[in-house]
Amino acid sequence: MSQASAAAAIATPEAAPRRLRSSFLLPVLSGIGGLLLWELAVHAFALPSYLLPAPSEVMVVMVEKWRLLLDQLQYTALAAVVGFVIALVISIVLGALIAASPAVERVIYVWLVVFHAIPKVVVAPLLLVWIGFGLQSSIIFVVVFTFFPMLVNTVTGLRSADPELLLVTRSMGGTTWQTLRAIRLPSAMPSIIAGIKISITLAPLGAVIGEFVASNKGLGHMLIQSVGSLEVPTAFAAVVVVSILGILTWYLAEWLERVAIPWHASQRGRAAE
Amino acid sequence: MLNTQDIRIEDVTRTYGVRGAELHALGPISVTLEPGKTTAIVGPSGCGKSTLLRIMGGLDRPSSGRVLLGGQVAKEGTTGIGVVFQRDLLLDWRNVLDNVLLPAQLQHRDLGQARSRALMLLRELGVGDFAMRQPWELSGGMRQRVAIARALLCDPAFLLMDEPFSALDALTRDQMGVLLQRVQNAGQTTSVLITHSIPEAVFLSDRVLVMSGRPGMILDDIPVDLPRPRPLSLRDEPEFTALTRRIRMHFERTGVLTA
Ligand SMILES: Nc1ncnc2c1ncn2[C@@H]1O[C@H](COP(=O)(O)OP(=O)(O)O)[C@@H](O)[C@H]1O
Ligand SMILES: [Mg+2]
Repeated sequence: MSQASAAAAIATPEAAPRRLRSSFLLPVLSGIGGLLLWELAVHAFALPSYLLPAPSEVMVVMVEKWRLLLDQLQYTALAAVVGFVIALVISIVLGALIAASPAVERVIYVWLVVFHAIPKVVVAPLLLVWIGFGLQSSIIFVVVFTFFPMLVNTVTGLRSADPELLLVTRSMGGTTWQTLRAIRLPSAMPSIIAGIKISITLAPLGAVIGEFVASNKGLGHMLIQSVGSLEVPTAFAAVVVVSILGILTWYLAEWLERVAIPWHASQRGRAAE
Repeated sequence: MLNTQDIRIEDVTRTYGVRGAELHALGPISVTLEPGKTTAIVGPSGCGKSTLLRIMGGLDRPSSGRVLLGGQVAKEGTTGIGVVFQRDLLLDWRNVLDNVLLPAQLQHRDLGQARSRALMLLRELGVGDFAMRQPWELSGGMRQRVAIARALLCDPAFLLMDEPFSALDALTRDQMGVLLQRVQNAGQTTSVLITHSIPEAVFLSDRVLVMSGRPGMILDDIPVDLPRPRPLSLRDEPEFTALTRRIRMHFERTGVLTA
């Protein structure tokens, strides 16, 4: 450890606010600076708002249409949450079956790989034909979008237990089920959580894409529609809201990680921060 | 607590199938380990010591022969066995106390009672203040003491230890030996200690079995009649060094040790 970093590691009363300042202030300043540049550029080049609206314009739309945006957000978030939970259950159950039985793996895996290889966005319009218009289409699209990373990570996780650790419960007369609970599942948690972290941010994306093709509600539908009628500031407002949803889900995943696997090397000491 | 029981090893061999070929790893070995005594097993690396210990613990099956623990064939699912491995194998997702309590939970024992025994063992082993800490906050020596407490929690009739101190530094090893004597329940538990340290084998045991290189067989069987409890200073006594010399000779003769 260098002298400088050794000194930084010692938390003096003054060091804490300084760290806070650099970890919050710089990103905030950078964000504001970027928005200002964007605003200035739009005015300097006199860009029409159907090409690129100024941030101030988007802000005005967001304030004016907050009620509508909130409604669409609720609809999209509902599809994302329901779809994600369904995908989570499917991937854990299927993952456990695959990890437990090589026969199940051989039968199912080939289908999963084929399924994963199909470009889902391209197939999306088919959903409209098969499932029809509405929430269920978005939900199914979220499931399709999010379950694969969680499934793969569940299988990997359940297989990753240290074989010597398995001897511990066996030497104590533990049953297969007890070994699963005491060793295999906890060993699998970091990998399962990593899968959740990938999938959870895909969930709003899946919902929005589902709404592009098969919905007359939601942020995705709003986006498509406002682009179609050249209300670009409204489209931007929808994009902002989708992004906020994405950011929220990311922090939700981070929080989940901290609560579920506080013992993992990646989390140690974080609770104290 | 179970009555003291012996371990009978009868014509045990173990052969591994490795990529089509057969690897004769162990035996034949036949020996009876007296109830309530500690038997140390020393032998060159790869001679099948861990294999033998796994067979005794019911974690592996012999290719021929059998092991009887108190008259019962050693098999998986048997309780009353405590195993300490070379790695401490603590579970990171449990704190120290909950790690020690694991066997009581798996065997559906009274947890209140187990808890007070766990705390007592941890105290005797010098890690009582760390009961609520996480395993990763402990040093290697402390972790191995927790593993020993876990193995002893349910008063096993058999304590099987596979090089439990080999990952520790020399000073810590000496200290662990003294601690082990204190908690080992001498006279009640039939213990097996695999080690590659000749002084450690003599210091902690009532009998030392010297094994040959692979396939491991018993080369010598040396009684250790030194009084207990044994202080560390015993290691400088002539009786002690006579025993260590006798063991070392086997290794020098077979070329495992070269002076
Ligand atoms: N699961 C296994 N599969 C194949 N060979 C093994 C296995 N376990 C041990 N062996 C081989 O058996 C021999 C004895 O191993 P082991 O019992 O671990 O020896 P020791 O503990 O005395 O060092 C070694 O040559 C080792 O490579
Ligand atoms: Mg070994």
